[in-house]
Amino acid sequence: MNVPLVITAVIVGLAVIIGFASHGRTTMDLEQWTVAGRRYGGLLLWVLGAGEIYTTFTFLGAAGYAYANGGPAFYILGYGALAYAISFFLLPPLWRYAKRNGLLTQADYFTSRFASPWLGALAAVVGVVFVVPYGTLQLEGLGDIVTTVTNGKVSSATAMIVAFGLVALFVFASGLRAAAWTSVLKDALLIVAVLIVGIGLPLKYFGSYSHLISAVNHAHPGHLALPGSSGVLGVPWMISTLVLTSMGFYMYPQAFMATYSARSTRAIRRNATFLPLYQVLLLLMFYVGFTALLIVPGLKGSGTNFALLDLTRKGEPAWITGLVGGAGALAAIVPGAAIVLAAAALVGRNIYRDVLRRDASERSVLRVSRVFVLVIMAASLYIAIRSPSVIVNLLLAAYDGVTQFFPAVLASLLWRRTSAAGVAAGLLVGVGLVLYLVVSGHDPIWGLNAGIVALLANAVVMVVVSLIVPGRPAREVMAAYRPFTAAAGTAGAGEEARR
Amino acid sequence: MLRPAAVGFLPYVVMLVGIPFVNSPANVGGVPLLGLWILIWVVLTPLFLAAAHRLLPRAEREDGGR
Repeated sequence: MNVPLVITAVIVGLAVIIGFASHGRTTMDLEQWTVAGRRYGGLLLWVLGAGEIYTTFTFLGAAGYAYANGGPAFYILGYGALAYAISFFLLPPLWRYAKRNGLLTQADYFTSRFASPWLGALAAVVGVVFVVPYGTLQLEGLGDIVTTVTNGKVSSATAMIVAFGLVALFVFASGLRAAAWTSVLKDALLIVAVLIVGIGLPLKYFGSYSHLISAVNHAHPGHLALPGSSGVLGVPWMISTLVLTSMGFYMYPQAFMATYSARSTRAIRRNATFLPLYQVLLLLMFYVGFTALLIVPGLKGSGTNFALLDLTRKGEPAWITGLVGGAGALAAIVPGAAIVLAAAALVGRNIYRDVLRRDASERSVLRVSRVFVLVIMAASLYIAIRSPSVIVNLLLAAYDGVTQFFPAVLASLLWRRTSAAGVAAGLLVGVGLVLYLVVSGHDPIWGLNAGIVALLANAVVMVVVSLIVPGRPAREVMAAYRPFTAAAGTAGAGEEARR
Repeated sequence: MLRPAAVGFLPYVVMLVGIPFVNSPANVGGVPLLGLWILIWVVLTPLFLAAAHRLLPRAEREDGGR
Protein backbone atom coordinates (compact mmCIF):
# COMPACT_ATOMS: atom_id res chain seq x y z
CA MET A 1 0.00 0.00 0.00
CA ASN A 2 1.24 3.45 -0.85
CA VAL A 3 0.92 5.25 2.49
CA PRO A 4 1.66 8.82 1.29
CA LEU A 5 -0.88 8.44 -1.52
CA VAL A 6 -3.62 7.26 0.84
CA ILE A 7 -2.99 10.04 3.36
CA THR A 8 -2.86 12.71 0.66
CA ALA A 9 -6.09 11.42 -0.87
CA VAL A 10 -7.85 11.35 2.51
CA ILE A 11 -6.82 14.96 3.23
CA VAL A 12 -7.97 16.20 -0.16
CA GLY A 13 -11.21 14.24 0.21
CA LEU A 14 -11.83 15.83 3.59
CA ALA A 15 -11.32 19.30 2.10
CA VAL A 16 -13.82 18.54 -0.65
CA ILE A 17 -16.42 17.40 1.87
CA ILE A 18 -15.87 20.55 3.94
CA GLY A 19 -16.13 22.64 0.78
CA PHE A 20 -19.55 21.23 -0.06
CA ALA A 21 -20.76 21.20 3.55
CA SER A 22 -19.86 24.88 4.00
CA HIS A 23 -22.92 25.72 1.93
CA GLY A 24 -25.04 24.93 5.00
CA ARG A 25 -28.65 25.96 4.84
CA THR A 26 -27.95 29.36 3.36
CA THR A 27 -30.03 30.44 0.42
CA MET A 28 -27.28 31.18 -2.03
CA ASP A 29 -27.74 34.66 -3.50
CA LEU A 30 -24.98 36.69 -5.10
CA GLU A 31 -23.94 38.40 -1.86
CA GLN A 32 -23.75 35.10 0.04
CA TRP A 33 -21.83 33.46 -2.75
CA THR A 34 -19.20 36.19 -3.21
CA VAL A 35 -18.74 37.73 0.26
CA ALA A 36 -20.58 35.27 2.55
CA GLY A 37 -23.10 37.88 3.61
CA ARG A 38 -20.37 40.07 5.23
CA ARG A 39 -20.61 38.14 8.49
CA TYR A 40 -17.05 36.98 9.09
CA GLY A 41 -15.04 37.86 12.18
CA GLY A 42 -12.64 35.71 14.17
CA LEU A 43 -11.36 32.48 12.69
CA LEU A 44 -12.77 32.64 9.16
CA LEU A 45 -11.71 36.24 8.55
CA TRP A 46 -8.32 35.34 9.99
CA VAL A 47 -7.67 32.46 7.60
CA LEU A 48 -8.98 34.49 4.66
CA GLY A 49 -6.78 37.43 5.65
CA ALA A 50 -3.80 35.13 5.97
CA GLY A 51 -4.73 33.97 2.45
CA GLU A 52 -1.53 33.85 0.57
CA ILE A 53 0.85 33.35 3.47
CA TYR A 54 0.53 29.60 3.36
CA THR A 55 0.15 28.76 -0.33
CA THR A 56 2.33 26.51 -2.48
CA PHE A 57 4.25 29.62 -3.43
CA THR A 58 5.28 30.30 0.14
CA PHE A 59 5.23 26.75 1.50
CA LEU A 60 7.33 25.07 -1.18
CA GLY A 61 8.52 28.33 -2.71
CA ALA A 62 10.06 29.71 0.51
CA ALA A 63 12.20 26.62 1.00
CA GLY A 64 13.10 26.59 -2.70
CA TYR A 65 13.92 30.30 -2.77
CA ALA A 66 16.10 29.95 0.33
CA TYR A 67 17.82 27.01 -1.33
CA ALA A 68 18.44 28.80 -4.61
CA ASN A 69 19.08 32.39 -3.53
CA GLY A 70 19.76 32.44 0.22
CA GLY A 71 19.49 35.86 1.89
CA PRO A 72 17.00 37.41 -0.58
CA ALA A 73 14.46 34.82 0.65
CA PHE A 74 14.08 36.77 3.87
CA TYR A 75 11.78 39.18 2.04
CA ILE A 76 9.17 36.39 2.23
CA LEU A 77 9.38 36.58 6.02
CA GLY A 78 9.00 40.36 6.09
CA TYR A 79 6.49 41.47 3.50
CA GLY A 80 3.38 40.10 5.18
CA ALA A 81 3.92 42.18 8.32
CA LEU A 82 4.44 45.30 6.21
CA ALA A 83 1.29 44.49 4.25
CA TYR A 84 -0.73 44.11 7.44
CA ALA A 85 0.47 47.53 8.64
CA ILE A 86 -0.85 49.02 5.39
CA SER A 87 -4.09 47.05 5.65
CA PHE A 88 -4.69 48.32 9.17
CA PHE A 89 -5.18 51.81 7.73
CA LEU A 90 -6.30 51.09 4.18
CA LEU A 91 -8.93 48.38 4.51
CA PRO A 92 -11.40 49.86 7.03
CA PRO A 93 -12.42 52.80 4.80
CA LEU A 94 -12.65 50.48 1.80
CA TRP A 95 -14.76 48.00 3.73
CA ARG A 96 -17.09 50.76 4.91
CA TYR A 97 -17.53 52.07 1.41
CA ALA A 98 -18.11 48.55 0.08
CA LYS A 99 -20.77 47.84 2.65
CA ARG A 100 -22.64 51.11 2.02
CA ASN A 101 -22.65 50.54 -1.69
CA GLY A 102 -23.14 46.79 -1.78
CA LEU A 103 -19.84 46.09 -3.51
CA LEU A 104 -18.93 42.46 -4.17
CA THR A 105 -15.79 42.47 -6.30
CA GLN A 106 -12.61 44.49 -6.50
CA ALA A 107 -13.61 46.00 -9.83
CA ASP A 108 -16.95 47.05 -8.27
CA TYR A 109 -14.94 49.53 -6.25
CA PHE A 110 -13.62 51.19 -9.38
CA THR A 111 -17.03 51.16 -11.06
CA SER A 112 -18.67 52.75 -8.04
CA ARG A 113 -16.06 55.16 -6.71
CA PHE A 114 -15.28 56.63 -10.12
CA ALA A 115 -18.81 56.23 -11.50
CA SER A 116 -17.37 54.43 -14.50
CA PRO A 117 -18.41 50.92 -15.53
CA TRP A 118 -15.71 50.99 -18.19
CA LEU A 119 -13.03 51.53 -15.58
CA GLY A 120 -14.55 48.63 -13.62
CA ALA A 121 -14.40 46.45 -16.71
CA LEU A 122 -10.76 47.43 -17.28
CA ALA A 123 -9.94 46.57 -13.67
CA ALA A 124 -11.73 43.23 -14.11
CA VAL A 125 -9.75 42.40 -17.24
CA VAL A 126 -6.44 43.30 -15.57
CA GLY A 127 -7.43 41.27 -12.52
CA VAL A 128 -8.40 38.19 -14.52
CA VAL A 129 -5.32 38.38 -16.75
CA PHE A 130 -2.98 38.25 -13.77
CA VAL A 131 -4.93 36.07 -11.40
CA VAL A 132 -5.67 33.17 -13.72
CA PRO A 133 -1.99 32.35 -14.27
CA TYR A 134 -1.55 32.50 -10.51
CA GLY A 135 -4.33 29.92 -10.16
CA THR A 136 -2.70 27.85 -12.87
CA LEU A 137 0.55 27.90 -10.92
CA GLN A 138 -1.27 26.50 -7.90
CA LEU A 139 -2.62 23.73 -10.10
CA GLU A 140 0.81 22.83 -11.41
CA GLY A 141 2.13 22.90 -7.86
CA LEU A 142 -0.55 20.42 -6.86
CA GLY A 143 0.30 18.11 -9.75
CA ASP A 144 4.00 18.19 -8.84
CA ILE A 145 3.34 17.55 -5.17
CA VAL A 146 1.08 14.57 -5.74
CA THR A 147 3.42 13.02 -8.29
CA THR A 148 6.40 13.45 -5.98
CA VAL A 149 4.86 12.08 -2.81
CA THR A 150 3.33 9.10 -4.63
CA ASN A 151 6.61 8.31 -6.36
CA GLY A 152 5.07 8.88 -9.78
CA LYS A 153 2.17 6.45 -9.21
CA VAL A 154 -0.34 9.20 -9.89
CA SER A 155 0.42 11.35 -12.90
CA SER A 156 0.47 15.08 -12.51
CA ALA A 157 -2.34 15.55 -15.05
CA THR A 158 -4.62 13.05 -13.28
CA ALA A 159 -4.06 14.75 -9.93
CA MET A 160 -4.83 18.17 -11.40
CA ILE A 161 -7.98 17.06 -13.17
CA VAL A 162 -9.42 15.22 -10.18
CA ALA A 163 -8.56 17.81 -7.53
CA PHE A 164 -9.53 20.87 -9.49
CA GLY A 165 -12.63 19.31 -10.98
CA LEU A 166 -13.82 18.89 -7.40
CA VAL A 167 -12.74 22.44 -6.49
CA ALA A 168 -14.73 23.85 -9.39
CA LEU A 169 -17.82 22.03 -8.15
CA PHE A 170 -17.61 23.13 -4.53
CA VAL A 171 -16.89 26.74 -5.46
CA PHE A 172 -19.84 26.56 -7.84
CA ALA A 173 -22.02 25.38 -4.96
CA SER A 174 -20.71 27.26 -1.92
CA GLY A 175 -18.69 30.26 -3.16
CA LEU A 176 -16.57 32.09 -0.59
CA ARG A 177 -17.76 29.85 2.24
CA ALA A 178 -15.99 26.93 0.61
CA ALA A 179 -12.73 28.89 0.38
CA ALA A 180 -13.01 30.07 4.00
CA TRP A 181 -13.86 26.74 5.63
CA THR A 182 -11.33 24.73 3.64
CA SER A 183 -8.75 27.39 4.61
CA VAL A 184 -9.20 26.39 8.23
CA LEU A 185 -8.22 22.80 7.46
CA LYS A 186 -5.42 23.92 5.16
CA ASP A 187 -3.84 26.26 7.70
CA ALA A 188 -4.10 23.75 10.54
CA LEU A 189 -2.42 21.02 8.50
CA LEU A 190 0.22 23.34 7.10
CA ILE A 191 1.19 24.57 10.54
CA VAL A 192 1.58 20.98 11.73
CA ALA A 193 3.57 20.08 8.61
CA VAL A 194 5.78 23.17 8.91
CA LEU A 195 6.53 22.40 12.54
CA ILE A 196 7.32 18.74 11.88
CA VAL A 197 9.64 19.24 8.94
CA GLY A 198 10.96 22.66 10.02
CA ILE A 199 12.11 21.39 13.39
CA GLY A 200 12.65 17.73 12.56
CA LEU A 201 14.79 17.88 9.43
CA PRO A 202 17.40 20.52 10.36
CA LEU A 203 17.88 18.99 13.81
CA LYS A 204 18.11 15.48 12.42
CA TYR A 205 20.98 16.39 10.12
CA PHE A 206 22.73 19.17 12.05
CA GLY A 207 21.73 18.84 15.69
CA SER A 208 20.91 22.54 16.08
CA TYR A 209 20.00 25.57 13.98
CA SER A 210 23.26 27.18 14.97
CA HIS A 211 25.26 24.26 13.57
CA LEU A 212 23.19 24.41 10.40
CA ILE A 213 23.83 28.13 9.87
CA SER A 214 27.56 27.68 10.56
CA ALA A 215 27.69 24.81 8.09
CA VAL A 216 25.96 26.88 5.39
CA ASN A 217 28.31 29.81 6.05
CA HIS A 218 31.25 27.46 5.77
CA ALA A 219 30.11 25.72 2.58
CA HIS A 220 28.55 28.73 0.85
CA PRO A 221 30.05 31.96 2.22
CA GLY A 222 27.73 34.91 1.68
CA HIS A 223 24.69 32.75 0.81
CA LEU A 224 22.77 33.97 3.86
CA ALA A 225 23.12 37.72 3.15
CA LEU A 226 22.30 39.85 0.11
CA PRO A 227 22.63 39.20 -2.78
CA GLY A 228 23.25 35.63 -1.63
CA SER A 229 23.69 33.13 -4.43
CA SER A 230 21.44 35.15 -6.74
CA GLY A 231 24.18 37.57 -7.74
CA VAL A 232 21.71 40.35 -8.62
CA LEU A 233 19.25 40.60 -5.73
CA GLY A 234 21.02 43.18 -3.55
CA VAL A 235 19.97 45.67 -0.90
CA PRO A 236 18.05 48.05 -3.24
CA TRP A 237 16.20 45.06 -4.69
CA MET A 238 15.34 43.82 -1.20
CA ILE A 239 13.95 47.16 -0.06
CA SER A 240 12.00 47.82 -3.27
CA THR A 241 10.61 44.28 -3.26
CA LEU A 242 9.43 44.58 0.34
CA VAL A 243 7.70 47.87 -0.49
CA LEU A 244 6.14 46.50 -3.68
CA THR A 245 4.90 43.23 -2.24
CA SER A 246 3.51 44.90 0.87
CA MET A 247 1.44 47.19 -1.37
CA GLY A 248 0.36 44.36 -3.64
CA PHE A 249 -0.69 41.90 -0.93
CA TYR A 250 -4.30 43.06 -0.77
CA MET A 251 -4.50 44.12 -4.42
CA TYR A 252 -5.06 40.57 -5.60
CA PRO A 253 -8.75 40.47 -6.56
CA GLN A 254 -9.43 37.50 -4.27
CA ALA A 255 -7.75 39.17 -1.27
CA PHE A 256 -9.53 42.50 -1.86
CA MET A 257 -12.84 40.70 -2.16
CA ALA A 258 -12.29 38.56 0.94
CA THR A 259 -11.99 41.79 2.93
CA TYR A 260 -15.61 42.60 2.14
CA SER A 261 -16.66 39.47 4.02
CA ALA A 262 -15.60 41.06 7.34
CA ARG A 263 -18.23 41.69 9.97
CA SER A 264 -16.81 45.05 11.09
CA THR A 265 -13.86 47.40 10.77
CA ARG A 266 -12.84 46.34 14.25
CA ALA A 267 -12.54 42.72 13.12
CA ILE A 268 -10.35 43.86 10.22
CA ARG A 269 -8.04 45.88 12.48
CA ARG A 270 -7.76 43.15 15.07
CA ASN A 271 -6.69 40.70 12.38
CA ALA A 272 -4.22 43.16 10.87
CA THR A 273 -2.68 43.61 14.30
CA PHE A 274 -2.03 39.96 15.03
CA LEU A 275 -1.59 38.36 11.60
CA PRO A 276 2.13 39.30 11.42
CA LEU A 277 2.79 36.73 14.16
CA TYR A 278 1.22 34.07 11.97
CA GLN A 279 4.03 34.23 9.45
CA VAL A 280 6.91 33.80 11.87
CA LEU A 281 6.72 30.06 11.19
CA LEU A 282 7.90 30.69 7.64
CA LEU A 283 11.35 31.07 9.14
CA LEU A 284 11.33 27.30 9.61
CA MET A 285 10.84 26.86 5.87
CA PHE A 286 14.09 28.70 5.24
CA TYR A 287 15.89 26.27 7.54
CA VAL A 288 14.45 23.40 5.51
CA GLY A 289 15.75 25.09 2.36
CA PHE A 290 19.21 25.57 3.89
CA THR A 291 19.27 21.96 5.09
CA ALA A 292 18.31 20.76 1.63
CA LEU A 293 21.09 22.89 0.12
CA LEU A 294 23.65 20.80 2.02
CA ILE A 295 21.89 17.42 2.02
CA VAL A 296 20.34 17.26 -1.48
CA PRO A 297 22.62 19.62 -3.41
CA GLY A 298 22.43 20.28 -7.12
CA LEU A 299 18.75 21.16 -7.60
CA LYS A 300 18.44 23.78 -10.32
CA GLY A 301 15.78 26.18 -11.63
CA SER A 302 12.23 25.15 -10.76
CA GLY A 303 13.67 21.94 -9.31
CA THR A 304 14.51 23.94 -6.17
CA ASN A 305 10.79 23.97 -5.41
CA PHE A 306 11.18 20.29 -4.66
CA ALA A 307 13.83 20.94 -2.01
CA LEU A 308 11.31 20.45 0.78
CA LEU A 309 9.59 17.41 -0.71
CA ASP A 310 12.82 15.66 -1.67
CA LEU A 311 14.26 16.20 1.75
CA THR A 312 11.06 15.05 3.46
CA ARG A 313 10.98 11.84 1.44
CA LYS A 314 14.61 11.22 2.21
CA GLY A 315 14.54 11.99 5.91
CA GLU A 316 11.05 11.32 7.26
CA PRO A 317 8.75 8.26 7.56
CA ALA A 318 6.10 7.65 4.90
CA TRP A 319 3.17 8.96 6.93
CA ILE A 320 4.87 12.34 7.36
CA THR A 321 5.52 12.48 3.63
CA GLY A 322 1.80 11.83 3.17
CA LEU A 323 0.90 14.58 5.63
CA VAL A 324 3.23 17.05 3.93
CA GLY A 325 1.85 16.00 0.55
CA GLY A 326 -1.75 16.46 1.70
CA ALA A 327 -0.99 19.81 3.34
CA GLY A 328 0.87 20.91 0.23
CA ALA A 329 -2.05 19.83 -1.97
CA LEU A 330 -4.42 21.95 0.12
CA ALA A 331 -1.96 24.85 -0.10
CA ALA A 332 -2.68 24.69 -3.82
CA ILE A 333 -6.38 23.82 -3.82
CA VAL A 334 -7.66 26.43 -1.38
CA PRO A 335 -6.03 29.50 -2.94
CA GLY A 336 -7.10 28.02 -6.28
CA ALA A 337 -10.70 28.06 -5.05
CA ALA A 338 -10.49 31.70 -3.92
CA ILE A 339 -8.87 32.72 -7.19
CA VAL A 340 -11.41 31.06 -9.46
CA LEU A 341 -14.24 32.56 -7.39
CA ALA A 342 -12.81 36.07 -7.66
CA ALA A 343 -12.10 35.75 -11.37
CA ALA A 344 -15.58 34.39 -12.11
CA ALA A 345 -17.26 37.14 -10.07
CA LEU A 346 -15.21 39.78 -11.93
CA VAL A 347 -16.46 38.41 -15.23
CA GLY A 348 -20.08 38.18 -14.05
CA ARG A 349 -20.31 41.57 -12.33
CA ASN A 350 -17.91 43.79 -14.14
CA ILE A 351 -17.83 42.52 -17.70
CA TYR A 352 -21.25 40.90 -18.12
CA ARG A 353 -23.35 43.27 -15.99
CA ASP A 354 -21.37 46.53 -16.13
CA VAL A 355 -20.74 46.51 -19.84
CA LEU A 356 -22.72 43.88 -21.74
CA ARG A 357 -26.11 43.71 -19.98
CA ARG A 358 -26.66 46.76 -17.77
CA ASP A 359 -30.15 45.54 -16.80
CA ALA A 360 -29.00 42.06 -15.73
CA SER A 361 -30.63 40.84 -12.51
CA GLU A 362 -28.64 39.58 -9.54
CA ARG A 363 -29.77 36.07 -10.29
CA SER A 364 -28.53 36.16 -13.83
CA VAL A 365 -25.21 37.64 -12.67
CA LEU A 366 -24.89 34.75 -10.22
CA ARG A 367 -25.70 32.28 -12.97
CA VAL A 368 -23.13 33.75 -15.35
CA SER A 369 -20.48 33.87 -12.60
CA ARG A 370 -21.08 30.23 -11.74
CA VAL A 371 -20.76 29.19 -15.34
CA PHE A 372 -17.47 31.09 -15.47
CA VAL A 373 -16.18 29.14 -12.46
CA LEU A 374 -16.34 26.07 -14.67
CA VAL A 375 -15.01 27.87 -17.75
CA ILE A 376 -12.04 29.41 -15.93
CA MET A 377 -11.20 26.16 -14.22
CA ALA A 378 -11.31 24.28 -17.52
CA ALA A 379 -9.10 26.92 -19.13
CA SER A 380 -6.63 26.77 -16.23
CA LEU A 381 -6.46 23.00 -16.47
CA TYR A 382 -5.81 23.16 -20.17
CA ILE A 383 -3.09 25.75 -19.65
CA ALA A 384 -1.52 23.86 -16.74
CA ILE A 385 -1.32 20.64 -18.76
CA ARG A 386 -0.02 22.31 -21.92
CA SER A 387 1.90 25.03 -20.02
CA PRO A 388 2.77 27.42 -22.83
CA SER A 389 5.53 29.90 -22.13
CA VAL A 390 3.30 32.99 -22.39
CA ILE A 391 1.70 31.90 -19.13
CA VAL A 392 5.04 31.60 -17.42
CA ASN A 393 5.71 35.19 -18.36
CA LEU A 394 2.32 36.37 -17.10
CA LEU A 395 2.96 34.61 -13.84
CA LEU A 396 6.34 36.21 -13.35
CA ALA A 397 4.56 39.52 -13.81
CA ALA A 398 1.48 38.69 -11.69
CA TYR A 399 2.52 40.23 -8.39
CA ASP A 400 3.99 43.31 -10.03
CA GLY A 401 0.87 43.48 -12.19
CA VAL A 402 -1.83 43.44 -9.53
CA THR A 403 0.16 45.90 -7.44
CA GLN A 404 -0.57 48.46 -10.17
CA PHE A 405 -4.02 48.84 -8.56
CA PHE A 406 -2.43 50.28 -5.45
CA PRO A 407 -1.84 53.91 -6.51
CA ALA A 408 -5.47 54.21 -7.64
CA VAL A 409 -6.87 52.69 -4.46
CA LEU A 410 -4.73 54.89 -2.23
CA ALA A 411 -5.44 58.05 -4.24
CA SER A 412 -9.16 57.30 -4.30
CA LEU A 413 -9.15 57.63 -0.50
CA LEU A 414 -6.90 60.66 -0.19
CA TRP A 415 -7.53 62.81 -3.23
CA ARG A 416 -11.00 63.71 -4.44
CA ARG A 417 -9.78 64.84 -7.80
CA THR A 418 -8.54 61.39 -8.82
CA SER A 419 -10.43 60.63 -12.02
CA ALA A 420 -11.43 57.55 -13.97
CA ALA A 421 -9.31 58.77 -16.88
CA GLY A 422 -6.30 59.20 -14.60
CA VAL A 423 -6.71 55.76 -13.04
CA ALA A 424 -7.20 54.06 -16.42
CA ALA A 425 -4.16 55.79 -17.93
CA GLY A 426 -1.98 55.00 -14.92
CA LEU A 427 -3.11 51.39 -14.83
CA LEU A 428 -2.44 50.86 -18.53
CA VAL A 429 1.02 52.43 -18.29
CA GLY A 430 1.88 50.47 -15.14
CA VAL A 431 0.69 47.12 -16.45
CA GLY A 432 2.27 47.70 -19.87
CA LEU A 433 5.60 48.58 -18.29
CA VAL A 434 5.49 45.56 -15.98
CA LEU A 435 4.85 43.20 -18.87
CA TYR A 436 7.55 44.79 -21.00
CA LEU A 437 10.21 44.80 -18.26
CA VAL A 438 9.51 41.30 -16.99
CA VAL A 439 9.10 39.64 -20.39
CA SER A 440 12.21 41.32 -21.81
CA GLY A 441 14.24 40.16 -18.81
CA HIS A 442 14.76 43.58 -17.23
CA ASP A 443 13.79 42.54 -13.73
CA PRO A 444 15.53 43.67 -11.58
CA ILE A 445 16.21 46.95 -13.36
CA TRP A 446 18.87 49.36 -12.02
CA GLY A 447 19.06 47.04 -9.02
CA LEU A 448 15.39 47.68 -8.21
CA ASN A 449 12.34 45.45 -8.48
CA ALA A 450 10.84 46.22 -11.91
CA GLY A 451 7.36 46.46 -10.39
CA ILE A 452 8.38 49.51 -8.35
CA VAL A 453 9.59 51.33 -11.45
CA ALA A 454 6.27 50.61 -13.16
CA LEU A 455 4.40 51.67 -10.01
CA LEU A 456 6.09 55.07 -9.98
CA ALA A 457 5.33 55.63 -13.66
CA ASN A 458 1.73 54.58 -13.01
CA ALA A 459 1.35 57.02 -10.11
CA VAL A 460 2.86 59.94 -12.04
CA VAL A 461 0.61 59.33 -15.05
CA MET A 462 -2.45 58.96 -12.81
CA VAL A 463 -1.77 62.29 -11.07
CA VAL A 464 -0.97 64.21 -14.26
CA VAL A 465 -4.02 62.91 -16.13
CA SER A 466 -6.23 63.56 -13.10
CA LEU A 467 -4.98 67.16 -13.03
CA ILE A 468 -5.86 67.57 -16.72
CA VAL A 469 -9.16 65.67 -16.54
CA PRO A 470 -10.23 65.98 -12.90
CA GLY A 471 -12.66 63.54 -11.35
CA ARG A 472 -16.03 64.83 -10.23
CA PRO A 473 -17.42 62.06 -8.08
CA ALA A 474 -21.19 62.13 -7.92
CA ARG A 475 -22.54 63.90 -4.85
CA GLU A 476 -24.09 60.71 -3.50
CA VAL A 477 -20.77 58.91 -3.89
CA MET A 478 -18.94 61.48 -1.83
CA ALA A 479 -21.71 61.91 0.74
CA ALA A 480 -21.52 58.26 1.72
CA TYR A 481 -17.80 58.47 1.64
CA ARG A 482 -15.71 58.72 4.70
CA PRO A 483 -12.05 58.24 4.01
CA PHE A 484 -9.68 57.69 6.85
CA THR A 485 -11.46 58.97 9.86
CA ALA A 486 -14.88 58.26 11.20
CA ALA A 487 -15.06 61.69 12.80
CA ALA A 488 -14.20 63.72 9.69
CA GLY A 489 -17.19 63.09 7.43
CA THR A 490 -19.95 64.34 9.68
CA ALA A 491 -22.82 63.36 7.39
CA GLY A 492 -21.41 59.86 7.12
CA ALA A 493 -20.78 59.60 10.86
CA GLY A 494 -24.33 60.59 11.70
CA GLU A 495 -25.69 58.02 9.39
CA GLU A 496 -23.45 55.41 10.92
CA ALA A 497 -24.65 56.24 14.42
CA ARG A 498 -28.27 55.75 13.46
CA ARG A 499 -27.68 52.22 12.25
CA MET B 1 -4.88 60.20 11.77
CA LEU B 2 -1.23 61.20 11.39
CA ARG B 3 -0.16 60.12 14.86
CA PRO B 4 -1.59 56.59 14.66
CA ALA B 5 -0.13 56.23 11.18
CA ALA B 6 3.29 57.37 12.40
CA VAL B 7 3.21 54.79 15.18
CA GLY B 8 1.75 52.00 13.04
CA PHE B 9 4.30 52.44 10.26
CA LEU B 10 7.34 52.75 12.50
CA PRO B 11 8.31 49.04 12.25
CA TYR B 12 7.77 49.24 8.47
CA VAL B 13 10.19 52.13 8.09
CA VAL B 14 12.78 50.89 10.58
CA MET B 15 12.88 47.42 9.05
CA LEU B 16 13.61 48.83 5.59
CA VAL B 17 16.04 51.54 6.66
CA GLY B 18 18.06 49.07 8.72
CA ILE B 19 18.60 46.51 5.95
CA PRO B 20 21.87 48.00 4.57
CA PHE B 21 23.35 47.91 8.08
CA VAL B 22 22.46 44.30 8.88
CA ASN B 23 23.31 42.72 5.54
CA SER B 24 25.49 39.98 6.98
CA PRO B 25 25.30 36.20 7.21
CA ALA B 26 26.72 36.30 10.75
CA ASN B 27 25.30 33.51 12.89
CA VAL B 28 23.43 35.08 15.81
CA GLY B 29 22.25 32.19 17.95
CA GLY B 30 21.20 30.11 14.96
CA VAL B 31 19.66 32.94 12.88
CA PRO B 32 21.56 34.87 10.18
CA LEU B 33 21.77 38.55 11.16
CA LEU B 34 19.72 39.74 8.16
CA GLY B 35 16.93 37.27 8.94
CA LEU B 36 17.04 38.14 12.62
CA TRP B 37 16.58 41.84 11.87
CA ILE B 38 13.50 41.17 9.76
CA LEU B 39 12.14 38.70 12.30
CA ILE B 40 12.46 41.25 15.13
CA TRP B 41 10.39 43.86 13.29
CA VAL B 42 7.80 41.31 12.20
CA VAL B 43 7.30 40.30 15.82
CA LEU B 44 7.18 43.92 17.00
CA THR B 45 4.64 45.00 14.35
CA PRO B 46 1.62 43.80 16.40
CA LEU B 47 2.73 45.90 19.38
CA PHE B 48 2.96 49.04 17.28
CA LEU B 49 -0.36 48.39 15.54
CA ALA B 50 -2.04 47.83 18.89
CA ALA B 51 -0.60 51.16 20.04
CA ALA B 52 -1.81 52.81 16.83
CA HIS B 53 -5.27 51.47 17.54
CA ARG B 54 -5.31 53.25 20.90
CA LEU B 55 -4.41 56.51 19.17
CA LEU B 56 -7.22 56.33 16.60
CA PRO B 57 -10.00 58.89 16.93
CA ARG B 58 -12.62 57.54 19.27
CA ALA B 59 -15.36 57.31 16.64
CA GLU B 60 -13.06 55.34 14.38
CA ARG B 61 -11.92 53.01 17.14
CA GLU B 62 -15.36 52.21 18.42
CA ASP B 63 -16.95 51.95 15.03
CA GLY B 64 -18.16 48.39 14.84
CA GLY B 65 -19.26 49.19 11.33
CA ARG B 66 -22.70 47.77 11.60
